[in-house]
Amino acid sequence: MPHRQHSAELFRETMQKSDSENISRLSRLSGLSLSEEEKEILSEDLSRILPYMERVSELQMTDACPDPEETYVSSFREDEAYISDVSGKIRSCSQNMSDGMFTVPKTVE
Amino acid sequence: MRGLAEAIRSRKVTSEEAVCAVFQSMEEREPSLHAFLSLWKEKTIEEARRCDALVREFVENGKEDELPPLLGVPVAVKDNLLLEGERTTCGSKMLEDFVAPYTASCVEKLKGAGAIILGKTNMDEFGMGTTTENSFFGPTKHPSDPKRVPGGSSGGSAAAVAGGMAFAALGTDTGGSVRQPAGYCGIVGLRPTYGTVSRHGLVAFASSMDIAGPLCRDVLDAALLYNVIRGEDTKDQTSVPSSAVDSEALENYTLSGKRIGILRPLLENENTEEDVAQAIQAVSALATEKGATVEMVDMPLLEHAVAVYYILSSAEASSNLSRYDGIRYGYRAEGIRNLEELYTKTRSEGFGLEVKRRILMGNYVLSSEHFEDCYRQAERAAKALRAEFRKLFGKYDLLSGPVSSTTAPRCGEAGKDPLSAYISDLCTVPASLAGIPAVSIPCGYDRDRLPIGLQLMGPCFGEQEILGAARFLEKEFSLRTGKGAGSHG
Repeated sequence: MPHRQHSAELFRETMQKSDSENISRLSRLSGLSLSEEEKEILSEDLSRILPYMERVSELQMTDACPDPEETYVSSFREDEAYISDVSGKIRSCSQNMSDGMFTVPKTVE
Repeated sequence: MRGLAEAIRSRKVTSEEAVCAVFQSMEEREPSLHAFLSLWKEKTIEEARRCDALVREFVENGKEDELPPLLGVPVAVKDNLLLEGERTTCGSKMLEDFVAPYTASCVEKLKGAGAIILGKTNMDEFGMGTTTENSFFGPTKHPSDPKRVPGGSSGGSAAAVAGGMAFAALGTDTGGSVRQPAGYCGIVGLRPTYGTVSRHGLVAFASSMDIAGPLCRDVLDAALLYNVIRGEDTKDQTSVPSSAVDSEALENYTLSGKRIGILRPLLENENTEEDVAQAIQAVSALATEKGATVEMVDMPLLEHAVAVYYILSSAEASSNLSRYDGIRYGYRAEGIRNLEELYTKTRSEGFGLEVKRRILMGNYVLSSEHFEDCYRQAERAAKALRAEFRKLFGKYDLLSGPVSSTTAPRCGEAGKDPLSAYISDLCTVPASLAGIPAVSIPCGYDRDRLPIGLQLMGPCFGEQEILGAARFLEKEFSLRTGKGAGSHG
């Protein structure tokens, strides 16, 4: 099916980009700053892991109609107004507080 | 566990004596096993004394039947379950100094049943691993052979119970992290039906599959602990109502007339060790002898179960772990110049390599180019897998197989090849993807005297069935080996 072929081609194109490009992009998406040693290790790892995972794209699957035998249980509690002051507990989790607020580096020059 | 609870209630032994015995055992074993990350000896003994005083008061007033079921029993809890006022590290530098502001619902239930939480156990960082070697605080060792791993990620809990340092423990299971270490260490581990135990206070890894479960010395203890911790919780919208397991019915369960399917891909794959295969075949022969119909079952979709699991779990993990940004809690890097550096340096210094690997994998499958053909496709495959399991449970009462293709590997082996480590999860991830209950019980030893684990799976809310079968087999194994059936409680 064309859809599945396209995904396999896309994956091969992705992997043909340099490992360095792929890892750099992924680490930016992940909010990580990797050392050169980590980049080398993780590039090597992902070059084996990702193709293994990608095999899933070759399965012939469809978005079938909702399965009538698969029921979803969802319980909603009744709305109940009450005072909930957990700010003290939240503040207790951080070492970086000033005047009851979290301190962060300046974001606006 | 239940034997101790009964002995405390009947004043044959005090909780303080039990706690002191456990700490005595710890002095001997813990330095080499490293099962615990936090221990509170003085506090635990004080609590034991309070329990003993309560027992005296209730007994003197003729109210011993009103005593909580686990009063005074020391248990351990995996270090990704919050306990208010105590460190919860998840085995990570990121949460090394994090003190929990509240207690997890399942731990509250444990305390409500009278149990004493004696410490928090070691684990693979954020639940990501199969050996407990990914803990920032150092690995845990196998209680029978310190050159081997106890399994993971609930390796500390498994080692604590198997090593005689706790009468029971709570672990958590996302892709097998209760069952596999139970199998490696020769104890019982239960993964309940998804949603039957609240996840409130369980630090999230893959939210659609995470669940807390008991690690115990026998099936009846596991049933009792499950009954204590289960229950719908308004603080967890994915929690569902469930029925308690009937312990008397477990004792009366028989395999006669039952239909058992052994999942062929779990047993007949290239990684299955000969001794493991023989042990499972011996169980099959025993079940047949006892009147069950046992058949091999083919399930083609299982070939992709590991890939599906790692796509979905990594995607969820990458999302769940994005909260660790150094702002409100946890580790914060020093020497940062701007907000972006705060995020990246904190996360790079706070997370270990395996966690980083999973986050990268997760962001890959969720990225716009691959979302449809990786993540969405994995969702479809998981749904198809659930449908296949439902169909099979129309024909079989139980599905079975080894809990792992191998016995406990040597320390350092799993880390050499991450992909092989992932593939070793083949036996356990199907139940996780399907949300069905599964229990691991010891069914023999290999030639090196390492425990072999048998896994029994049932339909959703089928804890009574799988624990009944587990109890039946446990008694049979005990008869055949000459050891007392369920005598470790």
